[in-house]
Amino acid sequence: MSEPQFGWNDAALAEAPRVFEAGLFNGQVVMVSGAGSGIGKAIAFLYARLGAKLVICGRDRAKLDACESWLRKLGSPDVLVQQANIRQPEDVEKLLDATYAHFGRLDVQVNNAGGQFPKAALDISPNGWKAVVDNNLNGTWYMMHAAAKRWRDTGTPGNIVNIVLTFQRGFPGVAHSCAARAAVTYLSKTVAVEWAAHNIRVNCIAPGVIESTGFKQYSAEAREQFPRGNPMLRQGDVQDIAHAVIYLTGPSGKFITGELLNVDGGGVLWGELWTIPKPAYFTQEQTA
Amino acid sequence: MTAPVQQPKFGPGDAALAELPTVYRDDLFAGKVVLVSGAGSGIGKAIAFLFARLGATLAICGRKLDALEDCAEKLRALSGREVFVHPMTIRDPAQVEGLLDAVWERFGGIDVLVNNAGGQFAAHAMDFSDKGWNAVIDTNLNGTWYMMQGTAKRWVKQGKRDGSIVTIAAAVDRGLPGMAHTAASRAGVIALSQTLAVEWAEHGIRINCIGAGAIESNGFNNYKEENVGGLFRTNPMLRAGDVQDIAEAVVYLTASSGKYITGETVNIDGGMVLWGDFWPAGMPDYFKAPATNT
Repeated sequence: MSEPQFGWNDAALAEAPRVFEAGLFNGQVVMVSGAGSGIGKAIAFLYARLGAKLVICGRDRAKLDACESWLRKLGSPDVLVQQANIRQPEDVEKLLDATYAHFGRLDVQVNNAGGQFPKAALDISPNGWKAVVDNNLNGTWYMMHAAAKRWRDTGTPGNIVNIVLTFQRGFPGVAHSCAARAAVTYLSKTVAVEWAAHNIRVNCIAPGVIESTGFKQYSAEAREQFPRGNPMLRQGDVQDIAHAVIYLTGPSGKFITGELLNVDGGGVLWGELWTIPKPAYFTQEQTA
Repeated sequence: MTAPVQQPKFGPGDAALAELPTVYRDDLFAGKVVLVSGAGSGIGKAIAFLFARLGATLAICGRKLDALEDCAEKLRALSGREVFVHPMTIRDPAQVEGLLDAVWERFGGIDVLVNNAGGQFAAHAMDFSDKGWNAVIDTNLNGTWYMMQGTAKRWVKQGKRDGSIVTIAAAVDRGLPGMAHTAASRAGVIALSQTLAVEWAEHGIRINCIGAGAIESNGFNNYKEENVGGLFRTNPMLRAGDVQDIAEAVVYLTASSGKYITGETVNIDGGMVLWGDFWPAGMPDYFKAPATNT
């Protein structure tokens, strides 16, 4: 039996409806981390369709290479592929070095790399905790910091979008990621002010339940309940996030900084989202 | 000889507005009907212009017939399509009913409602009169509610499943000293929208708000000259936004790009909710930094 597939395949993604004008990112260089699959790949695809040159990074070289050929086919004039682990500051420095050596500039940085594994908080090991915080918070920080220093030193404007997740009501089953994403959001708000002096905008996007390859790590039982996580009673798609990134990093977002945009079908207002099996405690019948 | 084109003191003139760059593809709203309130000037006019350029059919309302007619004439020239004009005030539920009846009669319905009508005057809260307070609450909060409920009722009755409402509110996260009435009314609209986004999700209706910061438009003329300079330094970007920033946000939220967004408020304020001083009625001495000897 084959594994279930989640999200769109590459061919469908390449043709997904877009609201933005072709050529919107002509002449610009955009860096997308974690571009080998899922949401990151969708973001890179849309930038390519809008004419951007791309720097894509991630840990899995084969996935990046497969993505690269699509990006060129979709109209990106030039693509730089760099294997990198954002948890390693040296990797991040090398990535920025390679970007400036190849393109001589960077216009937009999309920090999409990150991840988590579902686990009841009581069962999270110190190593598991550290891995998630290191990846989502520290890795994102190394990336932002490295890019911002280049922008400051070259006196050029900068533009950062971080993909986090909806943390406002907590996130049972992924306490580590919830903590790290909230931290990234408030880090972003802080540097949005500090770095305004350098003409750098910094924003975050909080996806709710977005159907993508990332779904694989959740149990079928959990997935079945995902649509109940928001008042629309459905999942979003990767193009919802890609469009949000373009909106914030294009001229449309030029007066927006320090902002968190929830793309979650209203999940921060209503709904119940469990990434682990819902404890019996919450399903007890009310007694009279 | 043609009459000289008047260049407004704040914000773009109509000719410039018609040509502002946009990020969107030009057929994005083809076949859609959009109702914009307060479209006779400023941000509302910019929203109407952008929708017209993207292929939408427009219905516009506001209090001043001449301003609406003037806007409509330009929209027709821009789009080559009919524009429906209806003068009214959103404060009066009967007039809201009259507007919606007329629009439904003409177009059979709408796809998007943009609640842009609203307003305020700068004053310190101690100086508010009851009448001034009530006027702001009545327009910004009550008027917006009449428009939303009237529209949603019709959508539900029609069985329409993809209606979208955007309300232009304000970036109120840190309050708005010098405009307490508008801060209260806009926060009311934002919480109302969050509530309705849940209640009306079952009807496929999405409801979002824009938290506008200092946006340079003809609205700046309402402030005293000595306080206008400060409006260009309210946020870490140390500048004001422009009307197209708001218009493009409305399009983003109401087009398919926003199809998974509801109950959300997008602050378009250059980061004002994080840092900066607004003080449209002037900053009281108490808050002014003491002079330093250098």
